[in-house]
Amino acid sequence: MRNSKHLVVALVALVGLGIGTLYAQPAPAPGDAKKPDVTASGETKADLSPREMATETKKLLGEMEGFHIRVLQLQGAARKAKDVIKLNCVNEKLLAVKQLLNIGEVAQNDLTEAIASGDRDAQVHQYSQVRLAQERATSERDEAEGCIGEEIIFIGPTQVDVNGPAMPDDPTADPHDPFDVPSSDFEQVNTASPWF
Amino acid sequence: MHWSLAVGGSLFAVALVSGAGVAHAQDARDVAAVEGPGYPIGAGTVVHPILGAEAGFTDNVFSAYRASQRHASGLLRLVAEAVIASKHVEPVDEALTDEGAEESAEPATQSIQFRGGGRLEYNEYLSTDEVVRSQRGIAADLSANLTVAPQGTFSFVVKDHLVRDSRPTNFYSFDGTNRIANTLGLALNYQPGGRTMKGGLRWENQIDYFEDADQQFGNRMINAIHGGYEWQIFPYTKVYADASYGFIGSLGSDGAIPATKRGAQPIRGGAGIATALTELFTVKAHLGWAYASYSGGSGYNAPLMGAELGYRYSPVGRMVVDYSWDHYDSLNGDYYRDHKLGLKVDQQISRVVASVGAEVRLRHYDGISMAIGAPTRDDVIFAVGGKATYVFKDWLAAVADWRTEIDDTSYLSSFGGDVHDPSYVRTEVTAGVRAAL
Repeated sequence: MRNSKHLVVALVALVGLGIGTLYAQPAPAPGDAKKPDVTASGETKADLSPREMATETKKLLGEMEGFHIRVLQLQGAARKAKDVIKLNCVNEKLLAVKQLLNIGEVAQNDLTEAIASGDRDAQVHQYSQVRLAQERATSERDEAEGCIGEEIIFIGPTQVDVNGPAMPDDPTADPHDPFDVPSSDFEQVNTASPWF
Repeated sequence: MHWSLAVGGSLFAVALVSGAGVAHAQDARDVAAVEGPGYPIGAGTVVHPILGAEAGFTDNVFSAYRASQRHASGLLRLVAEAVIASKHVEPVDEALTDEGAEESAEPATQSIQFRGGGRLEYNEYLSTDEVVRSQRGIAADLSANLTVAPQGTFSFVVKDHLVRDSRPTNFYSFDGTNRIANTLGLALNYQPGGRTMKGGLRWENQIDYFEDADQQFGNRMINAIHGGYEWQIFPYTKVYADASYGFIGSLGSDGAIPATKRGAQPIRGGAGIATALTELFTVKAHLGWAYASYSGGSGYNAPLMGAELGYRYSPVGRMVVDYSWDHYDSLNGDYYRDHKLGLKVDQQISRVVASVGAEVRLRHYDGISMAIGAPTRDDVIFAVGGKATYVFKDWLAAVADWRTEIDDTSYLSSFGGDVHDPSYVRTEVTAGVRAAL
């Protein structure tokens, strides 16, 4: 137990100095070569009880899901603007947010197991993973906002233009005027008189 | 004075139509079966020509009642149609518009819109009877529509519709009843911002002119001044009102028979609505009053009304039922009144576009010349027919047309000691092709 406390203090000190500790990540698959290098390295101090860590983790993951939705909105705005450069930029950030969200969710599961087994070191480690993932996701969200710029996002009050389906039998488009003095029907003379 | 007005109006109309060249009658309710890309003939102007030929049969060339005067004949019809129109300006796709170039990308407002068109027909009767063959002739249906400042607060509209009707007499004869009917309209409209309301004044002039000197006793001219107003209260709902004062008179006669047309000043007015209750169900209705008193003759003072219900029962099928009750000036008497009930069904089946319809008219004539017979006459007119178009390609189609008319009346007229029964039954069937160039 004493050793664990030392380890936590040492880790906090390392994070405070800006030195990240690399944790084992699966080796990148060949197909993942183009994916951005996203990890949630480093740990933060956690003076929280297991219950508080679980609650906080849930809250952090909720925020990350919000970031995910926001970046999806930015992606839609870029697509509507038909700006390929902005769209590529946002797509890259979206991929990062998704991966960070996955990391957070895996860490949440591991935290649950650690709480169940009473392993305090593992609890702190998994909680730290979630927190770091949330911080990185915040950063990616901000960068995605920067990809788009204000001119697309802040376009003023919402203006809704409704284009209804084509009306094939628009009754208002009929040029016939029932009040015309000459009849719209062409009266034939041969129906009435032998004179013609 | 009337005659000088008529000549002036006609010359203007003819000049307008001849400027349009050969064209298809936009107002003739005869939608072209085919349409090609057309030929540009100037900046923003394209002409769309269509050629066609039809062969067919009629069982009663002269629309005669007596069996001895009923003559059947083959028919050959050559058709030339064209539409000339100022090119429609397509709106620019906003998604592809550069932000900086947004203003310059907007289409320029058209200062003048023009559409003219028409149809020429040459009808040949394929018969061994030379009297029947003598009924051959050229028929025309031409129209033009010019709008100045169509998007302006004030717009000016010129419309003209010229018809040359080539029809046999209703008795066995070398003569025909070739007739030119021209309707010219000038309108000044006020359409304030938003264009949901429009009101204005309109003048209409109609001339009926018979080419045969012996038939010119029936020539007439109708002038009418309208005040109208319409309000598009919803995208597919329009209410409107119209009031008019007209002048009906004879154009005189150069033939042996003196002019018979009696003058009148009809007054008409009313209001109506056209709306789409749903995307599939449309309703049109109008109600008003009509009055006319013919000098030395008859007259009417009666309501006018009508309603039309349209139902699109499938994406490619629609039916329309309509009823109307109205009074109109007549070439055969002072006026005629119609109760008209009609049904029309349009249906597309694969590449075939078909239309069938039937109508019944309870017609009453009044003010018929005493030299012909009794002053009043009642007819039951029944007509049924159908059209079908088989579209091979956008520019090539086969067309078929059938129409049967039955006019049943107890009226008997007399002229030169001979008694005529104007009732008749006539069927005409034709089929052919149309090609757009």
